[in-house]
Amino acid sequence: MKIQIHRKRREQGTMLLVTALIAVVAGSTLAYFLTRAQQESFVVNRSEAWNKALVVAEAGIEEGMSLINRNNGNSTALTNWYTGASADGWTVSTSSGNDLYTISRDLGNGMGSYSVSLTNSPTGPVILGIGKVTCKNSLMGSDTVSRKILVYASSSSAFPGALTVKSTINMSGNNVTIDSYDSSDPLHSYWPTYPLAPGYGTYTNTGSTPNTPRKANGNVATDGSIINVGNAQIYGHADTAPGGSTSVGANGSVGNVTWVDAGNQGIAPGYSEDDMNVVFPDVTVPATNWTTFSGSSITNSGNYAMDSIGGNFSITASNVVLYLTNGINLSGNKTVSIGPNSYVTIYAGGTINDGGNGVINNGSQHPVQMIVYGLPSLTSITLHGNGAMFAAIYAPEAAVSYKGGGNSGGFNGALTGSSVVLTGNSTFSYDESLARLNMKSGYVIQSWTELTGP
Amino acid sequence: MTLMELMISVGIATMFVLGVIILTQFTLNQGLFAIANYTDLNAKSRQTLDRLSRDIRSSSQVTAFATNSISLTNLDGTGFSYTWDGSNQLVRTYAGSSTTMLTNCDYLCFNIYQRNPSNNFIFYTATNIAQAKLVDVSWHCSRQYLGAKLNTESVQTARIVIRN
Repeated sequence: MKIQIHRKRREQGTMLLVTALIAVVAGSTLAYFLTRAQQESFVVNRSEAWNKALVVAEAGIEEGMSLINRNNGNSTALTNWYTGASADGWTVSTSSGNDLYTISRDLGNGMGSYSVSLTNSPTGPVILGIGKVTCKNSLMGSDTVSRKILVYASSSSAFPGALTVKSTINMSGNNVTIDSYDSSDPLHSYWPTYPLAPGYGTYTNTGSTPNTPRKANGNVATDGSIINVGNAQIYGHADTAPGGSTSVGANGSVGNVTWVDAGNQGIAPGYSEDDMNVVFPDVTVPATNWTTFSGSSITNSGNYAMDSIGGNFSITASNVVLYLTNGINLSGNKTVSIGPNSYVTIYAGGTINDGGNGVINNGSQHPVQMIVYGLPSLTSITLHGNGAMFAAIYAPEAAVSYKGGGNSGGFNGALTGSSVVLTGNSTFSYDESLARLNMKSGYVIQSWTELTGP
Repeated sequence: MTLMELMISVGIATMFVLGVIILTQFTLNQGLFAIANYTDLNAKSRQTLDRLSRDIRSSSQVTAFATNSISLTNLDGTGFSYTWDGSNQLVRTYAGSSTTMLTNCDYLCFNIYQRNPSNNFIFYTATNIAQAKLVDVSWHCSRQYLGAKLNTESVQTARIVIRN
């Protein structure tokens, strides 16, 4: 039997069917691949924009921080940042009764843009940074991704601890003692019994002898890597920059009051860290009208400019600001006396040298009443020969040398310098009330929050 | 052409076509599954990294740490944690509810550092949780096809600085 097949027609139909089938399968597969690849591309693009928007928003926050720190290093003008806002390109308007400072910038080259809003709340400046970045969300379309960051800023204390330096702290010899007290607390300073005037307490560091008002916040800290405690007794913490070390001699002790008074040697658990990370802004002289002065006694409040203080000097006016081009040099029982109701702020260059039984702030013996800001030209602070000082000194460029050896003298207050060397028979007591003063070194971010709402 | 010849020809052709179809299907399936897997892996990892980095960045401090688990506190005092079970899942816990962020997670490791960089972007290791200001996290996930690990995503690594 022979089967008759009409080959041409049937082959043509079959081939067409197979070709169509293959084309459908291949086309569907290709479409699937392309769709997936395109989707992946859009998702990656959006993710990149989302992450970039955060960086852009933070750039805006940086600009806001830059504005409020425009008077950094000038404590009396620090909070007046808004006075130059317009000159810096910010738009000033009023919102809900508060001044609102705004600025917007396009970073160009597809990097996005940011807008910043800044206001001065009772707790400090508040900054809102919004970063916007464009990304593709379809073949022809695009979308804008935005992220918002809200920052609360606050001013940081210029005197957060006893000894704070940029490089090294080196203690040598015996009878070096660093502790703390609180002149505003009758339990932790020596107060008058009646009538409680002038409203603060004084303090005498008794060395390693137990001392009732003593506290253990005599913290020593450095942005450098070395603290050599030697045989000193430190009633407080020792903190270096990351990777730094605190070495303690055979008779040295670092810790709380109980630890050190008990004669323990070494560092108490938790009293040494290596996480110090602080910027020390330089000090600038306030732009004000200075009255040239050459006498030895100031009885009226005001701003005075002098070359230096080199002999007995007294201030009885309530509020005095001094600009000393060449600092303070005392010797031979000379004193700088501050009245019990006087408050003095000094901007000093040159050197501060206190020796030969000289006393700086002999009258009040209250460090809060004598704040010294060392200008970049103040490169040396020396306390020696029974010299005594009751002051808070912020001098980030000064090498500090505290040479004991006498039978009296000492330092009460707080000191920030470039480096510190303490030799035998040196006592240093940090007045904790200084941390609560309105003497600030600059604004720092207090809280950082990403807002997730619309 | 005889009937016998026709049947043999059809048989051979059918076997050949079936073979080609099976091979094509297998290859296509592998490719399709691979793409689906990669897309899924990328999406899950990206989503997890975005959420985790936003959480950590806005937190205030690390309250507990292990290489497979980290707990942090927000500025408002609320806490959250990320925990890897050691073989499969990364779970985010916040306000008592848990969300599975990653599945088929073969490896995950947290590390904590201080904020200060040393040379070459190396950060100082935090010796205790009070020092922790930077969280380093690495993981990789995989997906299976026909019982075998077909695609393994390259390790995801991020270093997130706690801003507060």
